[in-house]
Amino acid sequence: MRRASLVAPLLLIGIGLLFLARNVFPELQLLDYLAKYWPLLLVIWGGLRLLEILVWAASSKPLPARGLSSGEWVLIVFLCFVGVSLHAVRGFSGWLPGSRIELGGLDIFGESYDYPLSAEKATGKAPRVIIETFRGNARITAGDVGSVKVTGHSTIRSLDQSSADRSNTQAPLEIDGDDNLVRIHTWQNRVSGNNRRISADLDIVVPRGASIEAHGRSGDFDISGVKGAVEISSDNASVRLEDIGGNVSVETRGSDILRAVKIGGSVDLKGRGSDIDLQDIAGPVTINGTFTGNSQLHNLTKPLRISTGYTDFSAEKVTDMRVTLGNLIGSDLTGPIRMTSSRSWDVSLSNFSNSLDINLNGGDVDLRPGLLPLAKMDVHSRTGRIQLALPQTAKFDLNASSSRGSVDNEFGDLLKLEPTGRRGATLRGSNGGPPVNISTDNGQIVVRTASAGDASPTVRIAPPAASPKQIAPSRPPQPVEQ
Amino acid sequence: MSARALLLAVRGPVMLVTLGLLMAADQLDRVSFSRTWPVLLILLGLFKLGEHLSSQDQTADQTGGTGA
Repeated sequence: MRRASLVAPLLLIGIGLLFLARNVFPELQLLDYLAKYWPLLLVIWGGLRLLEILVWAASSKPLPARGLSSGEWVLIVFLCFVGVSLHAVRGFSGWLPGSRIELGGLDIFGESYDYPLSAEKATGKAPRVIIETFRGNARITAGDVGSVKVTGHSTIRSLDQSSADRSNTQAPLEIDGDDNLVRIHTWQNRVSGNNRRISADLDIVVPRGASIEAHGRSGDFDISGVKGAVEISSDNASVRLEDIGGNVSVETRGSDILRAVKIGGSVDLKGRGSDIDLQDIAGPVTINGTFTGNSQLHNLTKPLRISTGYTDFSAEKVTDMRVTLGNLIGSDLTGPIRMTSSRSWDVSLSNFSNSLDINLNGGDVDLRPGLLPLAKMDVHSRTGRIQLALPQTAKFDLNASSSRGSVDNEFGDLLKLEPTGRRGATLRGSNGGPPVNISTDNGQIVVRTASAGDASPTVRIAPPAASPKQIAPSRPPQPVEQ
Repeated sequence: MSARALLLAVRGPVMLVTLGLLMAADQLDRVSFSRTWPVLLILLGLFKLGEHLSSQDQTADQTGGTGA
């Protein structure tokens, strides 16, 4: 008969004692200890078993066929999973993806301790304020003040109060520099161990003329009212900027939203993220990177350049544009407008002027130029339907051809249809206007007369709820002389 | 009692202790488990080798015994 091992009862007793201890001393951070020291359980388990077997062997008792049964191995694998997950969730681990979980989701494990932060330093009227890399949120506002003032609190997650206190003294809030250059340090990197356990919420008031340079790990930036430039780089940040006088540059490896409203200078966005919301930008806008959410661009008075790995878009002026994955809707745009993509896009443009150059790998294109004189157009989609609505009085030199698909003339007798190849067709017609070339390799083309409904822009974006003042009214479509 | 039976019996516990130590080394930020896990394979291989050799010895002993 198989002899029962002593290890299982011992383990049971051990676990029972642990939970009893937790019930008797509720302040004991049992989960924290488990998260950190669970591998010792394996060692003790194996060690006891080994000892047992060696004792049996020494006393010449019959040995079990296997040191550990399959049931025990299952339990061990389970324990490993629980231990590793607990470890990752507590933020100790470096190699599991789970360790990227943010503090907010960890409230069930461990405890947070809050400490107030406060510092102030007198400066000149237009200092450059540099916020050194930190984890947490910053709200920066400008005021008629002659100093940089920081208030807020830091949140430290820890096993107990004393180690939290220690971390807090290791990471004091400091401001140094002179009248022209101010540095704000949170010294979170000085906290030994994993710095995921400390974050700060900062409320910073700067002189109105200040310019800001901020570096963050993870957290949001909310900046308003400063006259100088704003430069933000962060691993993961949502950024909200409003009423900024200078140039704005944001570089992030992940963001939920990048929002800039009423910017006096240029806007330069780089990296990866989700939504983009730009409104009333006086300078040129460049967007470089992958932003997979909804983008809204409203009242950009200087050139816009968008460049992702697969798609390039540019326009000289944009009143309304909305971009979601694979879908671009724009109205009241000033050309030259260019869009090339190796991907498929559904593009809908209305009231555009000057010139339009589109080259897509696929997707439907819906064009309602609206404005006179008509824009010069060169539009190609490899596969997709192209629809063009020409104003009745427009002057143009049209050449619309589909290599495989029908071309429909809903404009009038000015246009003549002729077959091309075996399956294609070409529609031509000219009354002395700019060249309008439309082509698709595979798909239908429709050329029709613009109706009254076509003139109204397809995009209407509500003014931001957060902005207290009404933004400048969008300019009406202006014909541009060629 | 044969050496083979002893090897079979201690294999599990020894593997378990090693796993525990590797995990502990990982959790205390010494060496990552993603780098040390092949140790377990090597250990298992050594055990298998030991079992193989000891079973050969046994067979040799047994054939020797019957032949005598």
